Amino acid sequence: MTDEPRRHRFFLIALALAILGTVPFLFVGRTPTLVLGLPLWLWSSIVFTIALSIVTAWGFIRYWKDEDFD
Amino acid sequence: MRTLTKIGGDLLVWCGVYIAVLLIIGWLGRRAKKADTLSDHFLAGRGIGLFVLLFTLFATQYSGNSLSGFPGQTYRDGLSYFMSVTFMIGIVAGYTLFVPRLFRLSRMRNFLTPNDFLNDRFGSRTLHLLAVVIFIVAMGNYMLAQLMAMGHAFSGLTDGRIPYWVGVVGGAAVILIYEVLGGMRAVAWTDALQGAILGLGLVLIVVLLIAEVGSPATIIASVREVAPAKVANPGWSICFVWLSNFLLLGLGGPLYPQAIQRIYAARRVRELRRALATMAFLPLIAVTSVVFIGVAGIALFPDLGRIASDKITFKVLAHLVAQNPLAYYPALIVMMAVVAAIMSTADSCLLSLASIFTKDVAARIKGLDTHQSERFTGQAPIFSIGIMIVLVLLALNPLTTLWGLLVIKFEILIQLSPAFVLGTLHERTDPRAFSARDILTGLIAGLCVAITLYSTGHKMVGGLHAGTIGVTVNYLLVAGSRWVRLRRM
Repeated sequence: MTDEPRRHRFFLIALALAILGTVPFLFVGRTPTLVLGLPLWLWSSIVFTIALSIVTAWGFIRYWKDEDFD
Repeated sequence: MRTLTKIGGDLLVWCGVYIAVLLIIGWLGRRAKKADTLSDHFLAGRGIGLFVLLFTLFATQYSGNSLSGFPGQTYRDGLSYFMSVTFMIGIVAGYTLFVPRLFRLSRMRNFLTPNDFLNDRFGSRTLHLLAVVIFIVAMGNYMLAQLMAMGHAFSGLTDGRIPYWVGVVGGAAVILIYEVLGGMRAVAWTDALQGAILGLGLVLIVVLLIAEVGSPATIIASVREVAPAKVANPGWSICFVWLSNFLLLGLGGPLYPQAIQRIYAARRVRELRRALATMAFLPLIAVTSVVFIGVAGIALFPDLGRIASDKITFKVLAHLVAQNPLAYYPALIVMMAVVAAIMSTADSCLLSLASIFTKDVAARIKGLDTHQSERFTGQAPIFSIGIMIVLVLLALNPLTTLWGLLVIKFEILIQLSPAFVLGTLHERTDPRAFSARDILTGLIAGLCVAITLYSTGHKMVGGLHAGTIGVTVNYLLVAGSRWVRLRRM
């Protein structure tokens, strides 16, 4: 049995959302806000960047199957 | 008291030890050879396990630019260069789009170079030729940049005790010896050593910065006072650059031949899967660390110009050593890490270039099939030596016009993305599969758009790179060409 991450719509949607979330589009033109000493836009990017790592790793671990060469 | 001026002498000694270890590893790699075949030399017999695979992927992805260039860019752009963390994860995310299928095909059909996949899947001589040129230009430029960086690093870090030309020629000779001796085994094993030094160096410098300068919040508070624009909310243009960088690196980064050959060289899917899953988290530590160095640099040295800011890593290190003598040895390790990062990228480029010349050029001209070319090993060291001589000569006498042509490497490399991402979607016998004509239509158009924009001074249009615009046109035309073809059937 073989499988790969890109065959799963849920993975691709999660990946796209995480990628878009890393870019601070929502903070353009807003007044800078600090949370625990760091700008809020940076916190947002950090959270989505961690999410991007998790989604990428999850894609490999969960959806990459290749019984012939595993 | 120890200062960074004294470090040059100590670094000279440690560089000597380090080079000796690299040569020993090269010799061990030669002893570990199991067969006199191209796949044993260039892919370590397709037997690289998890630990070495992880470190070799890590060391290859992080060049000298990551340690000295990224902090400089952060110094100039401010916190928004956190985008580098996301685009380095983007490279790993890009692998999800084609690597599982590519790895399977590489095992079934004994691929050695990225072009083997293109030939197997599309069977087009034109595509083969174009891809060879693209890979050679992209890799040649990348390796040339590493050789020049190596000369500057040895010269700068040892206070000129090692002149630029000795750094280039000496470093190139060392890389050449262990690469010719041990092939991919030696390169991967030295990468493991270089990756470990790189990781250790980065962690140490961050710990020292927090201890001596303050927490990230303290440093950002200082930056807000001296350069408030560098921590302000990014504007639309920065957001588009961020997204464009992500696309450029995410689609182009996984196409580097040395990256693809590490995929081919993995022992099993299980190990490759784990290595790539771990790689997805490494930029969170490694790249965040270099961004942190750049931000701390803004707080410590707020008024540097462009050239001086490129040396911000060394300025920060000098500051740390002056403040705390205990920082001396960690600073030494960080400097070794810079040399290690450059050498690990250069050796991987050399190996990949030699494999492309041997398999995709020489073996093809001789008309050898996959099975026959496996024994075509005599040419490999000749190509390695030839490539190194040409690039060393270029590094010693950089030609401005040639350099100008070569810096567009990423813009053209990314144009091969549809061939790999869409080419691995279907079996070649599937009527829905993308044809060589579809791929060539997009590739030629994408190349024309990217090169025209770049050469007419439009490196960025509306925040998007010339290469990103080219690859968008490329994908659209590939899809359009297939749509028209399927409708006619």
